[in-house]
This record gives sequence, structure tokens and C-alpha cells, in this order.
Amino acid sequence: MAGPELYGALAQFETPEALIAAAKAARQKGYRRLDAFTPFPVHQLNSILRLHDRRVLWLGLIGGCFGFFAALAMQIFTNYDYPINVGGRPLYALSAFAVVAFELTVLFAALFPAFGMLALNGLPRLNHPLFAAAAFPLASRNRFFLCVLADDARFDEKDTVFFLKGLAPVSVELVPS
Amino acid sequence: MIQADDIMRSAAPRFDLAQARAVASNGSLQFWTSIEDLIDQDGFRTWLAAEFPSAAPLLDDSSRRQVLKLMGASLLLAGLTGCQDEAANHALPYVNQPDYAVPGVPRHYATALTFEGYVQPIIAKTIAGRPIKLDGHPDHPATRGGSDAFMQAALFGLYDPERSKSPTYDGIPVTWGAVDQTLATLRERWRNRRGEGLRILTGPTTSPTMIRQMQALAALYPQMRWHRHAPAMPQQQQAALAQAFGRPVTQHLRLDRCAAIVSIDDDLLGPGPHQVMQARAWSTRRGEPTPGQGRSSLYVAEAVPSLTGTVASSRLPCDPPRLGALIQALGATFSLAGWTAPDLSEAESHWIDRAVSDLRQFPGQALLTVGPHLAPSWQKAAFAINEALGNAGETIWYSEPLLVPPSDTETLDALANDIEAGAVDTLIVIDCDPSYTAPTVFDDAAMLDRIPHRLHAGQHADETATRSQWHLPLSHSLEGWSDGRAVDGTYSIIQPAISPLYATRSLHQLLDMLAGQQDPANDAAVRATWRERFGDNFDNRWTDALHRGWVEGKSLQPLALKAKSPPVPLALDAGEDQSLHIVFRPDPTVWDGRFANIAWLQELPKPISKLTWDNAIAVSPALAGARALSNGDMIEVEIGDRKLQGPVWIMPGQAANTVALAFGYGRRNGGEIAKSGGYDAYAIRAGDDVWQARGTLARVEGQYQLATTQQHHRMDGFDFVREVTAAHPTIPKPKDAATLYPEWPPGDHAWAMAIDLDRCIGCNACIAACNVENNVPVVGKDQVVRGREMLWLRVDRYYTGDLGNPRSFFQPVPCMHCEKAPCEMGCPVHATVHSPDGINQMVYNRCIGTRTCSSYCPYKVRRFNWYDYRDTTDAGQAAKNPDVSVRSRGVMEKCTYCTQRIQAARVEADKNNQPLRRDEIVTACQQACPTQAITFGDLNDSGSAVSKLRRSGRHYALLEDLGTRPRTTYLARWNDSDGDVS
Amino acid sequence: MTASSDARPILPPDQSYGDVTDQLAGIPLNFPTRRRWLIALGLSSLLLGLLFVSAIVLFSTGVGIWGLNIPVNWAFAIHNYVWWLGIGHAGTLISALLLLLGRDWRNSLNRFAETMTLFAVMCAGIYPILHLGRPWFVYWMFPYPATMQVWPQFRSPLEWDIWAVLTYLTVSVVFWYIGLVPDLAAARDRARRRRWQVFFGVLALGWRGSAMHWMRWNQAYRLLAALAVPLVVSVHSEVSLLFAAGTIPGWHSTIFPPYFVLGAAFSGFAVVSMIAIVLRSLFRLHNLVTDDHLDVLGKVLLATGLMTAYGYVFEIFDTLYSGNVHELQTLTDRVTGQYGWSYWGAIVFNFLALQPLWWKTVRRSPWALFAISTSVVIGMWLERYMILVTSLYRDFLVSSWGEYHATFWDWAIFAGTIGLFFVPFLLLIRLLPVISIFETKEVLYEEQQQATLASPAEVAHGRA
Repeated sequence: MAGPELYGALAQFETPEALIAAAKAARQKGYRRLDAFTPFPVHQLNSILRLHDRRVLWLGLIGGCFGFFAALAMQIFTNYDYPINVGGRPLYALSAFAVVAFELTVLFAALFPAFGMLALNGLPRLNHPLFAAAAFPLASRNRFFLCVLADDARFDEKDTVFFLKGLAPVSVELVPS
Repeated sequence: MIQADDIMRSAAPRFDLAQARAVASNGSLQFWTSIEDLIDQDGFRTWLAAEFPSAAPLLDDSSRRQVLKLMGASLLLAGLTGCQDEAANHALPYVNQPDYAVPGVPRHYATALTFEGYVQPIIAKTIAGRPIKLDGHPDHPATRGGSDAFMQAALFGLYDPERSKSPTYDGIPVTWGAVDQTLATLRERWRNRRGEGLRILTGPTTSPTMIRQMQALAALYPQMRWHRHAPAMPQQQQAALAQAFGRPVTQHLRLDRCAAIVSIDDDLLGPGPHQVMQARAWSTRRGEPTPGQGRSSLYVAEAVPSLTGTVASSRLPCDPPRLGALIQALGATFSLAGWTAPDLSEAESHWIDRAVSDLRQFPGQALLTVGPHLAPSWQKAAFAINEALGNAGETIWYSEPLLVPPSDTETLDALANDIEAGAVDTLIVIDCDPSYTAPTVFDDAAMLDRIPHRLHAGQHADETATRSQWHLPLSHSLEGWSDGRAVDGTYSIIQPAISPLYATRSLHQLLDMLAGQQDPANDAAVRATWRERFGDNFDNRWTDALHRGWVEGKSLQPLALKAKSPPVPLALDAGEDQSLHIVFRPDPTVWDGRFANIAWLQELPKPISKLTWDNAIAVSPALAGARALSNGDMIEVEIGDRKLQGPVWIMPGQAANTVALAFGYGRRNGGEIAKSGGYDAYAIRAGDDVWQARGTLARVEGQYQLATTQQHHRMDGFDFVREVTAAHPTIPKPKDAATLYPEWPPGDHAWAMAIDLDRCIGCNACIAACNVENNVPVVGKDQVVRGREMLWLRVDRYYTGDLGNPRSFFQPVPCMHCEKAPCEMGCPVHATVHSPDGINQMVYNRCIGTRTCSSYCPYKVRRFNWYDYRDTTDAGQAAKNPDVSVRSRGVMEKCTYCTQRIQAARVEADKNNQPLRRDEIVTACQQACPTQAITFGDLNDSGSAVSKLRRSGRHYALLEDLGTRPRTTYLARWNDSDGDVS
Repeated sequence: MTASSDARPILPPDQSYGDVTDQLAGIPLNFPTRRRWLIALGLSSLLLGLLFVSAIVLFSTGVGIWGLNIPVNWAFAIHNYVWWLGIGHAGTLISALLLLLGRDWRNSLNRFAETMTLFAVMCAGIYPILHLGRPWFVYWMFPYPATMQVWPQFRSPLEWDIWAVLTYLTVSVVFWYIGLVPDLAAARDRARRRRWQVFFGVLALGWRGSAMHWMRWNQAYRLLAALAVPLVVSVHSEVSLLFAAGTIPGWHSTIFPPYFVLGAAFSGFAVVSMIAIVLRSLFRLHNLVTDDHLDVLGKVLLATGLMTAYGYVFEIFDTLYSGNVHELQTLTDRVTGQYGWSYWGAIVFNFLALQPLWWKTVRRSPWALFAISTSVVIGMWLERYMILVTSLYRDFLVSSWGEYHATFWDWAIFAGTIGLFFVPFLLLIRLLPVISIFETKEVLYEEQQQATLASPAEVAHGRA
């Protein structure tokens, strides 16, 4: 049975290909709570691990709309609040307001997803069980890791480690939580 | 730069009492100048130039501030040296506020200034006892409210912090008590010698009081002699008049009756005591002439470009001898006995033909004038010709002489001879400065020192003061009582607009003291004069005269005189002489030098050259070409054995072989600003009534930095100034400019200004008035050099055509107050916006100084405070108009249509619960303009003057095609020349 | 990441992920060229000091210490503002535009290009404040309920600029940092000394390279890129409106926005090339910044340069076509006037000096490319000067024509901004990976994938 003191089992591979193969195998074995760690994005993993989340993009859209309308509102209000003849130009000079409106659209369309991405990723989080794993620092260098999380229904210390060893990893270790 | 500033800093605070007294005791501010010297040490400058080439000019910034410091410092000195502390800001003439003085509510005094002996009638606006604005008296028969630059700037003469503040003996401040004692002994001496050797030197005067007092003195001291010295006022004409009519008379012109004016080198509209009256009269026949009258045509032949020449229908530049030829030709044409026609060049005869035909066409309505500085025989020819044409009594008439003493034997040369002969025991110089304005008359400057007793009375410790044992400070004419006559002969009683700021005495107090009175009252002498003139009913007429601003009653009767036919003129020199003609002229902004210490006038651009802060040696383009001279080159002018050096200024339209020198600069004393620049033309002038001479010119080493406010004068084929002709009397109207912008709802008023270019004579009165009204700062020469002058209203001067004889134009350019203002659109902080009544407003305290407005302004009428230009001296602040905020560093400013006046009028109207009256509001420039070229008013009122002018056929807008819809627009100039419209 | 289109791999494939990581993460961790770096930092600091002194003098005395006047009341401040901002744009274009276009060669350049952008924009950003008459009121340009009850004026190009530049700066910082996080993690994991570990540990925000994180990161990064491109274009278009919105002849033209944007990219790419060449020799990065990179940069430079030249041609055509007397006057003044040197300088340095780039050998020679880039940077500086001064010094009314002469303080502040640019830039290349580690590895990975298709043998060789 999965000990609560465990975070999961971490297998280290040399190449992206090996990781991809391992991930496939783990899925077939029925593991669902899988995570992979790579020095650079390996896009094939998304489909294999069934990773699906478009909220970041939605945040972009929301931010954009917010910026756009906020900008228009601001400019229209300030001119409504201080209506004065400036060079005989119209009070609500939308053509002129368009510029700032565009800038704020871009600004918020950029800030929302950027910070949203960090939030969704639970970052910043300076400490994490994985950092305790001896080999893990290589995850940012040249090694590719597959982790079966301890809260996976099928997780079992011995079986899972045995299964992972079967995938020809460089190493396998249990990560305490 | 850092070093420079350190020196400055270390300089300013080093100011202990001992040194200050030392300074004061030698009479000049040497301690301060020595600081200047320190900065000016070549070593330092070269080091700086080497280290940071572009930092060098910064020094001058510092020295500009240094000048301001000096102005403040000299006030401080006053406190230390004079016995009373009399800073301008203590000038309230009363301790407890009288009930008639309401703080903030201006009081207006009808009074007058004196200028070259004549009075200039003014209304002085005072707030809390401080005069803050002078304007022409609107009801005065002579000037009708017109001003000139001198009148406007007189205010700053009053507040000049370097005025003499207490009597001095050998430069050491003394009390008036000491003066009284000395005078007592001197009077004893004079009485014993029956006035033998007592000489008084003054300018000419029209003041009955002064005349009365001089007569009194003459009675006391029979042998006393009263000499005249007026370096800037020619005497030839008076001499000619006396000869022609057998008695001294004064000539008067009625330009408003002239359909044709022919001027031989007579600057009818130029600066001087007659400018306002004559310009006013001339202008009634220009622009939109009164129905029934035609426009007057004006033919000018002159050696040096003048205001009159600039507005002439036909102008002929010719060297002084050729002027004689022209007069001779006229004499021959109008068959004066023995006058024969000389041979004329093609241009000359063409000009003569046109002039003569016009003179003949309008008998009794024409006028021939000859410059008052030209030879008497030429003058007399003019009198005779005018008589022959029936102009005498119509356009020109003669009266009893106004100026006393009239031109006679009591000249400066007579005085000089007597001094030479040792016949002069006491010389009292009153309000003139012969050792500056006539150094050549006294063979050597030290000659004055041979006179045992020398007294000088004046407003500054000037060159003569430093040569006199006694220097007695005179009051400014705004401080004392006096009287006099305007150029039309009308009497005015001058009442003070402020009590004396310093321990000064008025001219009349001084004369009374010479006659033996102790501490006479300020108004005693004047009252005495008029008590005897008014007789009984004195009080009413006195009060009436003071209220009115002049004494009622016709004062001058035309004399029925016949001119003796003039003798045949001397043969003209054939011109084989290769030397040049050097002509002397008073300076248009500092006159004969008396205004040289007024920074505001120094920075006022000379009408034609647009130079500031210096005088230059004007040469013709031809001569400059021949001698390979360019502006600013140093040259040496030599007359006989006398030489002077100065910078060249190439003057288009100047006669080929004529070199023009201007008076008023190269001062050695009389104030830091006065000493600041230029050359001294008097140094090579062979007498105080010499106006032209033969001389030579040579290039010498060096370049001089001249500060001009306009670098390009050629109109380059643009149509900024437009013209109409009799053939094409209207300007084609532009098709209505379409705009994408919505019309803003019209306000209750729509302010607009129309400027009639056909009336503008470029006299600068408007600029001066604007500067005073709007607290426009003086920035100093170095800033003008960098193109940072602050004038809200500039008078652009253009010429077209051949450099030798171009057509010249003046165009006053204030803010255009565009309805579709590009400037407003550029401001990110709403610091310049449009008021409902159509004024392009500048919100100083909102401005952050992005200068976008100025970048976008097609007319470049905006001015920026690059540094802190505020004048923080007491005197500077005393002169400020409290209704106009003083702009701080980093703020944009510009013409506001005198918005403070508009607001004041609105408030007044609201209080009376009435609408604004038609054309009630008058801008400062409009009020000052002697020719009424400027009209301001409400476009919503179709009956307003400006609306009428906008319907004129001559109406056009500057840079119309930009679609800025200016509210300031122009009326095209009439082109009466036979040439076609440029 | 879309596969690189050109067949030849841009990076030598025979390098392992590990070596690349150690090489790049090693630069901050055990810094190679300490001495030269210190010298550079020292010099830049001197310039920065000069900036502080000048700014103090400026604030205490007033903008009068510059050569400004009426009519030329804008000069160095505005024209250097435009110049710096333009330089900044290349960074964004390289990392954003080329990322979207999937140009792999960009991965070796984007990091320092973006870093360069940040400080170029910073230099530009201080100018509008310095040039104010009353800089202490700069905050009046922002909408806040002021006691004056006045709001900013949103029809003003200056107001637009404030928003544009601040947006641009913010987005650039975020984009740069988001892209930096994985490399910070890499550096963290390589760091041995405690203080480095803490430094990178905190900055890396605890990045673990989880697949899920990578996916979201990718979405955000590409979205930012997609936004940055139009942003760049809009920013410099607005800068151009600062002039084009005025009525002044020589400014009032519709060609200005594209003309300015292209000029900006042009000068920016020049600076990128210069920095690339210097860094690669300083840190011996020839294996990552290859001659192929220089070749591509050369081509881009040539292309943008020619487009800028088109701007010159069109400006003339525009004027002649309009036939407006004032425009013609200004054109004549530009070409033949007192400041003609700035016009012809721009032509020579921006156009003529560019022509050698047609030859491959020139493009691939670091020295030649560096020289040409330098000339372009100067040329663009002259061009901005020309556009600004030659329009203002002689506008409509002949009477108000004037002159402009830069003073010592004009130059001092300009030199100072160069210090302001280099000091932080040098600090960052000292502290952070100058080249994107993970993106380089990504490129290697893709190259090797392609190689696998070619010959499986190589794959094995690639690893170690």
C-alpha cells in the first residue's frame, strides 16, 4: 500500500525517446498519476500523458478584453469629467483613443497569461519533494525523468519500482514527500 | 562650467560692509566688475574653451544672472551708502491706508513724461502707489492715446535700481544738508560776481516753470549764461526757419491733410518726440481711409532705411550729396530764383517725376519735407516750394517757437570756447551728459576739470557726473511736479504718480535751490507758475488741468509768414572724393544714450535690423560686397583723426556709399546695463549738431557676436505679407476650408484681432506695451543670441526684391489663437486649451514643459522659460503687473489677448449687470499703437470694428491653407508703387 | 517547436545537452574573462556617473543648459529617445517574431537580444523625463484624481507615448523573465556555492521542468510572443506620430510610421550583431553563435536597411508629389542646408556602407559585420537627428528660422545614457546565462531527430 510519506517513484532516462517509451508503457500499465521532467519541452509527452489545459490562453483573451475596455472607459470618462475644447477636436476622439486602448489591450493580454501560467503551475514554490531526489538536478541538464506519483491508485512501492526498473532507466529511486 | 559656478558662488556672498563702503566711495561698482574680470580672464576662458568647448557660452548665462545680481546689489548698496533705506517696495507714500486707496484697485493719474523738452501726455496706472503701466492719454489732442517705446519703458527708468539715490561729492554720498551749505557759499560767490562765469547747461525745454525759474536766476545773476545741448535733436531746421522767416518759429505738419508727401531724408514716422502725433495723423490716410479722402502717397529719398522709408509708396536710396541734387532738381522744377536742374541718374529722375506729378496734382494737400539735419539752404528751398504749392497754412504751418532756449548763440561750442578761455567759474549741468554725448567739443575730456566748480544733476552717475565734484540726483518725471508743452503746443501740468523713491529732487526744486530757497516743496514752483497764469479761479483750473491731463484752451496760433526765397545752394561735390559718407542717427531703442540702462529697451529689437543689446555700423550691401564684409566683422571708421571700432551690419536698402552710426552705446558710466555693449559714435562726431561727415572704413581683426531676433529677412517668395493694388483691390477669398472636426458650440463672445499691415510702421510701441503689461522677462544678450527672446508679440520685418533698394514690410505676429490649434492637440496635460470665447489659453501652473505645443505651432509664437528668468530684484518686482502671473522656470508662455483685461471687463460688466460694451476691451498692443493698426473685438458682434475689418477686401489669414483658422488675421498692405505686387 | 526549415543544421550537432548546459550555465558560475569584464564595467560606470552629474545640473539649472531654442525646442533628448527605443525593438523582433516563424537560429541570440532591449528601452525611457521643463511634475501625465481636477489629454501623441513605452517595457520584462526561468533552474542545479544556489533558487521560482508546466509555459510564452510583435510595431508607430501629428513640414507625412518601425528594426539588428560578435569572442561561444548566425544577421540587416532606404526615396517622392512650397523648402534644407551633413551622413552610413553585405564572405566575417553594424548605428543616429532638427530649424515663417548647436551637456547626457545601457547589461551577462540554455538544447534535439531520420548511427554518437 502506498505509504503517505512517499511522493512517488522517479525513473531517470538518458534520452527523450527513452522517456517517451517509458511514459507510453506506464500509461498502458494503467498508471494515471504520471509526471515527466525534462530539460526542455518534449511535446510528444503532452498527448501521451493526456496533458490538456487551455486556461492560459483563455486568460490571455480575458486580459485583452479587460485592457481594451478599461482603456476606452478611462479615456471617455476623463473627457466626460473634464470636457474642454482642445484644438477644436471632438471631445470623444475615438481615433485618438484607439492608441492607448491598443496598448492596454496588449499589456493585460500579456500580464494575465504570464502570471496565470505561474499560478496554475503552483509557482513560485521554492521547495518541492522532488528536489530531495539525488538525480533530480540533472532534470535541468541532460536527463529525462518519469515520476509515478504515490497517490496513483495502482501505486505500490515494490511493484512500481520493479515496473520502472523494467523500462531500462539509468536509475530509479523513491522520493519521500 | 562647475568651476565657473564656483567662482560665481564664491563671489556673490563675499560682501562685507567695509568693502561695500569702499565700493560706494569710489562711486562705481568696481568690486563687482572685478568679479566679472575674474570670469573674463583669458586664461580661464581659454582653459574652459579647451576643456568643454560648448560649456564656454554657459559662462555668459552666469554673467547674465550676474547682471541681475548686480541690480539687486546696487539696491543693497543704496541702503548702505544712502542715509535712508529706500527700496522700491517701501514706496507706499503713506503709513495708514487712506480711505481712497483700495488695495488691488488701480488708480489712474493723468500726467506726462518729458522727452527732448516736449511732454508726452500719459495715463499712469498705479496699484498700491506703484506705477505699473503708462499709456498715451486717449483724449490728448496731440497723441490721442498713442504711445512710443520710450513712453512705455519710462516705467523701468523709474524703477532702475542703478539710479542715483543720494547726492554725492567726489563720489562720496552726502546729505542734501551738505548740498544746501555748499550752494549757500556758491550763491554768495555768484551774487558777488553778478553771475560772471556761472553757466547752466540743459537740454531744450518747453516748461513754463523752468523758463520762469531761469529768468529768476538771470535776474539774480545777470551775467549768468544758459547753454543748450541736445545731442539727438538737429538744429539746422530751426536755424533755417529763423533765417527764412526772419524770426524763430516752430514748424508744424498736418500729415492727415496730405494726399501726397515727399520726404527728403525726413523720418516723419521715426522715433522721436514727434513720432506719435505724426504717425497718428499719417495713418488716418492709410488702410481704410476715411471716405472722401484718398490714401496719401509717400515718396521718400533717404540715405539710411527708416520707418518712413519702409512704408513709402516709392523709396529712393541715395547718398547725402544726391539728396541735395534731388532738392536742387525740385527747386529748379518749381523755378526757385537761380536754381538750376542738376543731372540726375535714371532712377533719381524717375522718382522726381513721380514725386513732382503728385505734388502738382494735390496743391494745398501735398507736402515736401526735408530732414531737420540737412543743410539750412535745402530746408529753405522746401519752405519756398511748399509756399509755392499753397501747402503753407494747409499741410504745414508755423507758430511761435516751442522750445526754449531756441537755437542761438548759447551753444555747447560757445561754452567750450569759454571754458578754454577760463571764463567759466561754475558749470551746472542739468539732466544731460556732455562728457559722453559731446566729448569732441571739449578738446580733451579733462577740460571740464579746469572749471573750479562743477555740479551735475541727473538720474545716473554718468560720465559727466564722474567729472563733477557734485552729483545731485534728479527725480524721475513720474516722481516730481513739472509742466511743459506737447509737440502741438498744448500745455500739460505734470503731477507725480509716486512719491520719490530715493533722496532725489525735481528739476524745479533744484532751480529754486540755486535761487536761494531752502528745501523747496515738490510742487511749489509749478503751482507758483500756474497761479500767476491762471490768475483768480486758480483752484478750479488747476484741479481741472490735473484731472484732464492738459490745460484747456488753444495754445498755438498759426503765424502768417512769408518765406524769403532761398539763396542758390552751394555747388554739389562732384563725388570724385572716394571717401564714404558717415551719417549719425539716434538709436531707435536707447535714443541718445539716456535710456541705455533700461534692459527692457536694450532687448527691444531695433525696428529694421532686429538687433538687440548693441549698436552696429550699418553699411550697404554694395559696400559690404566691395569690402568683403559680413555681419559681425569688426571694422574701424575714421573721420579726420578720430577713429572708432564696431561690428558691421549689412543693411539692405542703404545708400551705396553711406555708413550709418547710431548713438547711445559704448557708455563708460551710468549703469552696468548701459556699459554692456556697443560702440560710442559720439567719439568721432565733430560737434553736437553734426549729422554727416566724410570718412573711411577699414576691416580690423575680430568678429563680434551680435544678437538679433530675426535671422532671415528675405520673404523668399512666400506670401506672409500680402499686398493689394488699385488694380486688384481685394485678396481672392480662399474656398471655405473643409474640416473633419465638429464645430464647437459658439461661446458668448468670439475674440479676434485684425492687424492692418498698411498702417503698421514697425515702431515697437506694441511690443514694449506688451512686455510691460504681461510681465515679459528680459533674458539678456546671450539668451537672445541663442534664440530665446521672450517677446510675446514680435514685429517680423521682411523685404523682397533687389538688396540695393528692396521693398520692406512689417508684420506684427502675436499668437494667432487658432480655432483648430495644433498646439493644444499636442499637450499631454491640458496645459494649453481653448476657452469658450475662443482664446487659446496657456495654463502656466499646469504646464510641465514638454514644448510639444511650440514644436507644433506653425507660427512659432510660443516662448519658453529655459531658465528661471524671473527678475527677483525689488525694483523688478515693483514694476510687475499684479494681474498677470509671473512665469517660473520650465513653463511655456505666449500672447493671451491680454486675458486679464478681458476678465476685468467681464467682472465689471457682471457687477453692473450689463453686457460688455462694443469694442470695450482694448489689448495692450492695440492701446499703444500710434497708428491704430491693431483692432481687437468680438466676432459674434457683426457691428464690432474687428468684424467690419474681417469683411474688408484686404482681409487674409497667415498660412491660411493649414486650416488652423487663426483668430488673429491681417489686412493686406496697399501697394501704391508703380511696380507690380510682389 | 516547429522544425527548422533550412536543411543544414544551424548548430554543430556533435554536442551533448550536458556540455551545452555546463558551458552556458558555467559562464555566470565561474566567470571566464573577469579582467576585460571589469574594465568594460569600469568605463561604463564612468559614463553612468557622467549621466548622474549631468542630470543634477540639468534639474537644478533647467533645460536651458542644452542648445535648445525657439524654433528648435526639441533636439537631442527626443532624437536620442527615438534612437534608443528603435535599438530596443530588434530584441523583441528577434525573440518574438522569429520564435513564431520557428527560425531556430534565433535561439542562440534571443536571450541577450532581449536583455539589450530592456536597457535600450530604459535609456529611451528616461529622456522624456529629462527633457521636461518641470520634470518633477512628470506624474501629471498619468490619470489620477488630481487636486487640479484635471486629467491627462489623450489626444496628445506624448500621452500615447507614455502608455506605449511603459507597456512595451513591462511586456518586454515579463517576456524576458518567463523565458529565463527554466535556465535559472538549470543554473540553480549547477550551482555549487551556497549564495549562487540561493540566488538562482529564488529567481527560478522552483521550476522543475514538469511536462505539465512546460505545456502551460509554452502556451504563455508563445502568446506573449504573438503579442509582442504588434506591440513593437505600434510603439514605434506612435513615436513617429510624435512628429507626424504636428503640422511642421518634413514631419506631417503618412510614411512616418512604417518608416520609423523599419529604421528601428534596422538599427536594432545592427546592435544585436555587434553584441553577438563581442560576446561570442569573449565567452568563446563559436559553437553556439556560428558564422551561419552572422550570415543570417547580415541578410536581415541588408533587408531592413534597404527598406529604410526605400523610406528615404519615398520621402522625397512624397514631397515632390505634394508640391507644397514649405515641404519643398524643408527638403532643400535637408539636402543642401546647414545640417545637410546629417542627411548625407545617414545616406552614407545607412545605405552605402551596407552594400558589401551582398557578399557572403563579408556577412560571415565578424570584423566586417561589426564595422558595418557600427556604421548603421551611427547612420540611424544621424537620420533621427536629421528628421528632427532639419524640420524644426526652418519651419513655415521665414522670420522664425533659427539654428541649433548641441552643447556640452547635450553630449554629456547622451554619453551618460550609453553608460546607463552598458552597466546593467554587463551586470546581467555576469549574473545570468547569456544564451538560452534549454532552447539551445531544444534545437540540438530537433537537429538530432532529423539526423536520426537520416542515419540512426549518428544519434548514438550524439549522446554522452
